[in-house]
Amino acid sequence: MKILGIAATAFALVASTAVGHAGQSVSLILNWTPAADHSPFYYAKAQGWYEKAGIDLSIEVGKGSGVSSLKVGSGGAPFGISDLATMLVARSKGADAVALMSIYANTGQTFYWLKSYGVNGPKDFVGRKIGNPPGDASRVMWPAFAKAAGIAPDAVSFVNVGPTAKSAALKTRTVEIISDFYNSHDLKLREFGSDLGSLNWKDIGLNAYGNSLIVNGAFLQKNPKLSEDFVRITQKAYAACVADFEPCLKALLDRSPASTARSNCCSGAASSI
Amino acid sequence: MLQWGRIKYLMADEFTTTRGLGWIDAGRMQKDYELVQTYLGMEKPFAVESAFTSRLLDPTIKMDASKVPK
Repeated sequence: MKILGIAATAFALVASTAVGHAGQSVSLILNWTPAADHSPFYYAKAQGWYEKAGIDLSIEVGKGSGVSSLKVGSGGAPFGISDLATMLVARSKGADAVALMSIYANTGQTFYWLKSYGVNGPKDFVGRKIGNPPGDASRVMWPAFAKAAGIAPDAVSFVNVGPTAKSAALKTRTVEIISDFYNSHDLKLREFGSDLGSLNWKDIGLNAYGNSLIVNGAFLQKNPKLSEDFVRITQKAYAACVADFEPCLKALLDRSPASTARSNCCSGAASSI
Repeated sequence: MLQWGRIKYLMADEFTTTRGLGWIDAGRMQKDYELVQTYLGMEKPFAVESAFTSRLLDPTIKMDASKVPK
């Protein structure tokens, strides 16, 4: 009877543990398609870290920070990745979103040019054409850059160039300067070699936070423990990937639709949008 | 792999390397708020400190600056 009693207690413990780890379903909306900077989420998920904390995480592909900040801000997803400036704008429009962790502590905004065009720095931007999409953050924020660089805001002209056509436009001299994100720096370096010139906005004193982990404010209020667990697991995953990226890349490629992840893992063309 | 090196550069600042990976600094946030207000516009202004918190981060996990490519 004593043995039966112990067995019953053990069963009850196992059962209660299993219930405790049933997992609360939560979703994370990315800012874009899965890319290298998202790999720690896939790595932590593959390691079972979220699951062990009772978090049943699903990761949703995003369509820009505007969409992710509004979806999180409306409660459509508890967690998301968003450029912080975009989240601030969304919050001013009523989105209930709160930033919990910076991923890009430094701005990815960077200007690129070819030295053979006679450009060696921002002073040489005067009278030149800069190519980027109409709503590009670097175009919107251009007056701030011009002020920091000591040039007139109207000293340059902007040409509409789509995200995927920027390098071609620079190569054919349709424009002489383009704006892009720093994490795709090596693609340009490979294409243009030593002729490539660049300036990250941080180097001129403009260093806004970039992509960050955000949460719905009401969800945070109702689920403080889960939110803390989610943040700390994510933080641990990023630290692990900083130490060794190989398993994180594998997790990204294994857990994402192959065509999407592979085409984005090494380009980062849109990973800061 | 090269791209991840650039990402590590973007992850490292004086706060993430000393106070906790992912740390969001109040002073930097205030500057960002002012920048956004000036150039993008805030439909309804709010207290910037209501828009972020670093209190959920584990301060023992820091961004390893030695892993950032020079």
